[in-house]
Amino acid sequence: MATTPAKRPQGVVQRFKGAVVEAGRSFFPSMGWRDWRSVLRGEAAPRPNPRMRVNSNSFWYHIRPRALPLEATAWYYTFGLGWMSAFFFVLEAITGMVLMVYYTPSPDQAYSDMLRIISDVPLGQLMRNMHRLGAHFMVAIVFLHMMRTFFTASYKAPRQFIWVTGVILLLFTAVLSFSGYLLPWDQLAYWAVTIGSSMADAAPFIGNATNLLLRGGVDIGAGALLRFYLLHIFALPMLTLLLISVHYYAVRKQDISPLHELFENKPPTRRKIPFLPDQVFFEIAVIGLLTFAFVVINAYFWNSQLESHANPTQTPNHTQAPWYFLWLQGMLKFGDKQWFGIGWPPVIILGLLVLPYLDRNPSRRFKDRKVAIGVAIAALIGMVYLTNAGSPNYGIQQTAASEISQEWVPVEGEGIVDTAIKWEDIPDQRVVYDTDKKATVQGPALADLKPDMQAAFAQFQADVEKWKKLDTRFRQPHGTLSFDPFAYETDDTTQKIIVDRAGAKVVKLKRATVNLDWTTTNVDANGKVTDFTDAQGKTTLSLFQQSRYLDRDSHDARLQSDASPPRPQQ
Amino acid sequence: MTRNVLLATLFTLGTAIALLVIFLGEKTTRMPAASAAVNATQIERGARDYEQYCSRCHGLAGQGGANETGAPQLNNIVQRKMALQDPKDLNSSDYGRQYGIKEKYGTIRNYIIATLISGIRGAAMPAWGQQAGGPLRQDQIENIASYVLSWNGDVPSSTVALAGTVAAASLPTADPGATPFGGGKVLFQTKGCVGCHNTSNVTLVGPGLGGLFDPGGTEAYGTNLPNGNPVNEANVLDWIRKATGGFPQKHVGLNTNVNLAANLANGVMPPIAITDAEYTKLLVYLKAYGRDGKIKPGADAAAPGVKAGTLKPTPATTPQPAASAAANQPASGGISQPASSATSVSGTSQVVPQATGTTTP
Repeated sequence: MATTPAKRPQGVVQRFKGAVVEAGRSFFPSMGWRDWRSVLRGEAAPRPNPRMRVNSNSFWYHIRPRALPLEATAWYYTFGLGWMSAFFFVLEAITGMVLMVYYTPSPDQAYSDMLRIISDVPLGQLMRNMHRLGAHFMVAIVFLHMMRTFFTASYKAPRQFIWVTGVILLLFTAVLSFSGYLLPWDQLAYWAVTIGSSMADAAPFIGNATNLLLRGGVDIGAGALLRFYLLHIFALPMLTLLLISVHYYAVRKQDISPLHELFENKPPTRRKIPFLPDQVFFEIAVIGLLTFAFVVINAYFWNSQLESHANPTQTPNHTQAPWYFLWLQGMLKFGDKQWFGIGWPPVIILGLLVLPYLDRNPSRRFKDRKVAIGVAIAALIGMVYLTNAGSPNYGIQQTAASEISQEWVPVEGEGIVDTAIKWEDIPDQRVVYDTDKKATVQGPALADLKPDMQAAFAQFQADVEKWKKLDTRFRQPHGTLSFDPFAYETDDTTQKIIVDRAGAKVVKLKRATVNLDWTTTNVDANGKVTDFTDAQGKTTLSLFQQSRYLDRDSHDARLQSDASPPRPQQ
Repeated sequence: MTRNVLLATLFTLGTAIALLVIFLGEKTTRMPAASAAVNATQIERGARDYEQYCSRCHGLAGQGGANETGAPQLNNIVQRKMALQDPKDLNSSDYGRQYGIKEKYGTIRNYIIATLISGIRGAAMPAWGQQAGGPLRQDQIENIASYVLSWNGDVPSSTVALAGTVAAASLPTADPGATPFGGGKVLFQTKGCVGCHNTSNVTLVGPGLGGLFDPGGTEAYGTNLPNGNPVNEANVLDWIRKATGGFPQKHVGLNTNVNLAANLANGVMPPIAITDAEYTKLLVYLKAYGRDGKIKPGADAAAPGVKAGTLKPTPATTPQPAASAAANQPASGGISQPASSATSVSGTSQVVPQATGTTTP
């Protein structure tokens, strides 16, 4: 630190230079520009090494070590997972703050704010995508970080406490991610959180109170949104930040566990690499790479969906928890809510917390840890199994009719009619495909349709036949899949219908309809499915119908191929 | 080290350039496309809501219900409201003077939204907005307005043709139990009942119909219909078919000399064409629900039969318990149904009463 009172420099240029040097000093204390130049040129550090002093004289650098053990920086050992968790935490904080500017946590406003962020805010969609995908990545990476720590036995003495804080951080990460789920106030948000918070309801004694406290009422409404918002933007991030500090402090104190302990014949090395410059520039390069990749992915390759406005009166089909809680949802399918939803998770978490104190085996080598690793692999397999059980494909199939319509013309999300057929290939006239006739019964003949339409109809035929086999109550099924032109496109300024070059009116909205009927069945006392007969002894038909509207402006964005149609000429 | 410095510089520059490129493309390409997609989604959802709530009176293609309900045509609403002027001159004083839309609402879109929210006083159009006690949220109303404005004078002829055949069967939520009650539930949807009524005690535009035939009747109207007749099967059928209030026959829009106030005293329910056979199916469905909106235990087994021709309305002035008792008698042609014709492969949470098959006494 320079203490000599300097003469006030004369002239604008001089003063500017002085300010730059001053700013540089405050960020990189103890290093002059000559030192920096030698760093950037890759020159060997002089003695005494000015680069070491930085860690003593700057708050930001003192957090990091002066040098890292070479063993700990082997990429195949840690995979940099802890560091990446921190990276995503910062990324979430930055993108989250941008989103906060445009968001109001009220049921009247939240959804339209989301629409505004998507369509009216420059880079708004990018920020939302990055925030959302980043949250998923962060949960995954924190989990992988825990896996790595377990399999390399890094939780063993003297590092038990690091593991404990890490388990708590994993919980915080999942809850942090989950608390953000409600904020868009769409159907996905509403129902995922309904499932989640109703799980708390099952807890004995405190369940009801917890649920009320969390929701601010019996139902999820304005109170719940505000509570989740405050949890998401303030309480949980603050706690997480605090715990990250404790976690990292403990890591600094104990150092990363040495790699050589894992192997019998590997000699320990005491070599270290200096934090400045090697590690710093490596980390900056990785930050640059990750940020760049993440920006490009989110701008061009991935879009987060927004479902329709939250509606308490309509439960969408296939409601499910976020993927990292699917195992919990799967567990609920195996037993009652109280035991499986509330009984087991605390046991699992408690088990994880006390793991390093239970596992007193001092060796970190794989061959000495056969039981621990065996149990962990079994637990992982169980987790994968439960996750699969939690997905809607398992156990909760509804009727064949609702499964088929969910697949083809879902109310939320995208169906096959959105993703498999090009807008231009849907005829501008009514076309109806009939599974009994295996042909179109209205509109152009099957052979005259475009290949993707033909393929879709063939798939529809196959689907109905598939479900006939899967669902015993789906007897003698018969389905039609129809497409209708529904509305014309008009010009916004002249209010006239747009016609194409051939003089035909341009269709803006088309409707896809799935109609299913099958013989009504009954289940008798033995569980056998029989045809239901009415008073006259006749069988009756059951009917099901569902439609989905397709709009030319949004349709082709949903296509799986990247073909997009030309705009019509006026 | 030098490689890392190079990479760091490269990627930092790359990120900056990528952000710049993305930013420059935002206003010209991405944001208009996103707006179009948002608008398109609004229209898709508006179409669904329109089909459920509005098409019963205004027609699936907005063609209006001229003879049946008198609801005005909507697919030409812009042209109709701007009939006197050059369509380009939306701001002309003629336009404003003629209809007051400009002064009052600014744009025709606002006019539509305001009409949807609060209805039209003295006419059959009810208030749909939640803020006015109706069933629709603000975003649903805006979606419907977007959809109505997307027509502009013409709709594909096949859509008009669909109106008679498909009606409003596609509900926003795929309901796995859509087929129980011998098709009564489907009829409740296709006949458009669901646009205004539900099967609990919640009053939407029309009263909730839960417990209609129970001793206590509905929560909103009790045991009497709006026209004063007691609730029984025959009177309800009569009410559905013709005893309607707010819809004077053969009037379009508000240009009518019919005494609307007198009609509106009986509510705004439009007349609905329904056959005896359809009505018996509908009854099965309606009778299955109590006021609390839950299926009554064993409701499916009590499927009533109503003999065609016995459904004579009983006026309020001369209550005829005998007649209604006769109407309540099960007949051999009674409809019966399994309540669970569309239940699951491996068990859902829905109510699955054991169907007994037949109810012939």
